[in-house]
Amino acid sequence: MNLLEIRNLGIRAGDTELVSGLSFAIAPGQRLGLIGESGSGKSLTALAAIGLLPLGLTATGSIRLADAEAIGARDGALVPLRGTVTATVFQEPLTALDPLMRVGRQVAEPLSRRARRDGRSRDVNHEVLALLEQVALPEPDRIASAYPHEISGGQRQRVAIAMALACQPQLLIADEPTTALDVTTQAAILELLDGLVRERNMALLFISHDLPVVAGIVDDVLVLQRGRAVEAGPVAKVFAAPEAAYTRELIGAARRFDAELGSAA
Amino acid sequence: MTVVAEPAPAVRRRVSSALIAGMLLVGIHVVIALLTLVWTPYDPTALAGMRLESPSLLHWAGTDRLGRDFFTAIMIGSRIALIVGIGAVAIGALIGVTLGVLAAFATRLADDALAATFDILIAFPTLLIAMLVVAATEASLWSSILALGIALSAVIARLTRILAKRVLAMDYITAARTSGASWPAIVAEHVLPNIWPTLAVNFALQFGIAIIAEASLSYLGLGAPPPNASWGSLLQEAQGTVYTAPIAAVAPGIALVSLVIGVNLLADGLRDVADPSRRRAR
Repeated sequence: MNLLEIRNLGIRAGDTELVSGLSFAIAPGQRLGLIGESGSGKSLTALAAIGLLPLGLTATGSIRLADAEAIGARDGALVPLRGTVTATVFQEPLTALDPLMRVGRQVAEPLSRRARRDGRSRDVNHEVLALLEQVALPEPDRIASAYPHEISGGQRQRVAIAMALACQPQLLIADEPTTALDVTTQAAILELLDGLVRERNMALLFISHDLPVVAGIVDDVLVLQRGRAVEAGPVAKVFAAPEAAYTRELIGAARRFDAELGSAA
Repeated sequence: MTVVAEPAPAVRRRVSSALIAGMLLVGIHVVIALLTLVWTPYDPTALAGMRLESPSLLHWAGTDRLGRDFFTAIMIGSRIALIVGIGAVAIGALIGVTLGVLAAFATRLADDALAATFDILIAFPTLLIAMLVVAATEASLWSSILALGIALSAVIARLTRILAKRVLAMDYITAARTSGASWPAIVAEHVLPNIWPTLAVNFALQFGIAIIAEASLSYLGLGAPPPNASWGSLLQEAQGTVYTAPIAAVAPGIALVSLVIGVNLLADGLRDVADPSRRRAR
């Protein structure tokens, strides 16, 4: 059984087609990268997958989330799937954390929700600290009692990852999780995500516009251009021998950028 | 270092002085209000002296035209004002926050309908709505509290709707939803705490408005009948004797203004305490 199976997905805003004819599936443990420039529909696809499209957008086609049809489903029917089947890490960790809630409580929230669902009630404080430690945050005690604006950007993203892990999802959706971070922090966060996904044998849907970042962490990629899939396949094959002109352009641009960096250094 | 560090304490001191002044003013009224439950200088209904006496050591604010101690009446007015303010804001908040949050979550059509209703209600002066409600019921302290609460609820509902909508658009709401939080949980854990600092300040403003509106109702003869006279009733009574005994008009006015200013200062100070992003140095 696939965790997520999308068939012929279309997303529209009024008469404008934002995504069309998109199909892909993610099996347990599989890692898929969704690549494309800004506005290519990557993030919308991820939101549609869990039934959280912004107001005014409509989805057509079929999205099966753990064998339950998500398109046209009542919101209440999807709530139990969110957090158990999938969890999401967003691009901007500052806005993805509640500014008025201490970090520890934010991590505790999905933990106690999970505990309630599983029908056990217990003190989650210990688990919060364990999670903060797992995402390699220094001084978990101090971080847990801090507000989001009191810790650094990289630390905030680690907290966001801890919150996603707290759900114990089978599929982790990472929507540009490193874009808002500087390069060294980026590398550290990627390494952390890679390790955690492997350790917990989670599936991963990694969304990014940044080819080298994607290449390092996923097995397969899907290239999106203006809401349509232009190329799909194993990451090594797509990068070594891109078929679509758009993919060649993306790879070429990334190489030229690296070359420029190299000659400048 | 010292140059950078210097402005911060100055800002913090100003914030806390507003808080202290507010607490002091409100505190005085609260203490007086509680005191009247067990003790007043004179029996509020007894004739304690001559008619329209000037302020003296025996009667700090003189006596009214029947010879009752006027300072006693003002002290009881504190109790009435606090009851009116708290009661009206509580009713207004209950109705207003509920409707506002519902509107923020509603479908576009229902939201538009609610928003239009709020706007139409706000277009009527608070006092007019309150007068209609009081006219429909019997003039008593509780009917004016209910009336003012209903009148205030439209403003609170509109503010809540806007604040809640802004919070609902934030990434952390989407993040909470992706991790499986239900709407009631999101309202309790994220929406209400995030709109609370702004709402609290507004509640204090509404508290002041409620007290003044009640005084106006009483002044128009629609307030609570004696002996639970509010400052507004005292002002109305003082109208006829304002040239012979000006203290009767001035004293309730001072009491009213000091409480309203105190509540506003308190709200300002509390907002800075409630919002951690305004609290820089730890």
